[in-house]
Amino acid sequence: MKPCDLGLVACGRRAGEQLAQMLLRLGYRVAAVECSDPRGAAEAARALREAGLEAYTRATVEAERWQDVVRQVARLSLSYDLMAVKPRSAEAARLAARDPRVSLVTLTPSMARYMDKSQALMLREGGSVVELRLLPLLRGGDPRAALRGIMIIARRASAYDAAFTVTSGARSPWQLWPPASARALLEAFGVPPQLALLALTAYCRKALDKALAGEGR
Amino acid sequence: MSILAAAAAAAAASALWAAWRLSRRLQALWERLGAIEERLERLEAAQRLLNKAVAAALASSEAEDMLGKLRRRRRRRYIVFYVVTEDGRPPPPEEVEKAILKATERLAGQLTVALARLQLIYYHPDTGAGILRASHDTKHLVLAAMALVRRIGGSRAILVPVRTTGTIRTAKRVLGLRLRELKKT
Repeated sequence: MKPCDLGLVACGRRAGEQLAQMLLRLGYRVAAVECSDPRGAAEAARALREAGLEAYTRATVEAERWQDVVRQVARLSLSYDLMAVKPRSAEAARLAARDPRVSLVTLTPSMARYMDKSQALMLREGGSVVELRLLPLLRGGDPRAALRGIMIIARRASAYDAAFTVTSGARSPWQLWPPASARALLEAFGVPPQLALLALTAYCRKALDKALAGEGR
Repeated sequence: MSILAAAAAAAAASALWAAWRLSRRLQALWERLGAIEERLERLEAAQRLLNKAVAAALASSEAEDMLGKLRRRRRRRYIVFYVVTEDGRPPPPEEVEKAILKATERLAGQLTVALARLQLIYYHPDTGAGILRASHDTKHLVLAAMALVRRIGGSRAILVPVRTTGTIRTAKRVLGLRLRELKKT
């Protein structure tokens, strides 16, 4: 199965080309790029496709209330391939997990408390995938808080059988994570090796399949 | 009168006899109790000895297990990797090793660095490909720490693990393949 990174940030062709080179060197074959401008995201995705990658566009919605999730997702899902929601409250997290248009539920390390049993149940019912961003680990300073949050989310998701994927959140090629290192990090957290592999391959495909099937659109 | 006196004497004699028998019985019982107590004490001493012997046997078997673990050959893993740098020039091996050690310490602490016994076994300065040795139980932590290395010697860099092997022979074979690939490109 092909390794994938569904959390890249690139606007325009040039940024896409820069990322594509490094993605290929690291062994990635599937990617999704995010940009506030849909045309910029489409151009970056086109550059990735021309380099030989399977590329998609994505948008992330930050929402406090469930009404915001519904409204913004309905608007943006027409312009992007993949929809991700970064919930700011428990109710937004629950709704995002069950919304048929949302493929990824982005949980930052500080939102580890939202990843509980009922959230996992809703994720399983709705077919959404939890997204873990590794970018906070590359910031300077003490990585303990970020490590702890990511570890809790990954371990709970694997314990409750919820699908989860790891993304880099890279804005430049130098923020990308080699797939072997991302997998090793999950294994070091205590995630079973098979699930760690699935997090980089099959669960990404699951999120893409849900987005491309256009359920509910 | 004499009959009464005789009866009283007989009663007193029988009472005395009964008292004497009771005292004899009590004495016998007392002696038996003493013997039982003595036996119990002896049993207790034997039990203590037995406990000591069992504890010594367990301790020696545990010590034997621990020594066995120490005597067992250390299992190592060889991580084949290559360095991608911004300017395309691979950094010197000392800086690569230093960066990996620093990242491992940042992620997993000084104890892990000590337990991992990290060593850069081989490094090709022209292509930036190398072999890093680590202990088998810290392999995941070292691989994850390698991803935290983003700068080597002042320039931006990424360490890309290619494969982890159990023998240096296989690692060298993988590295050879990798070098051939790099030469082609």
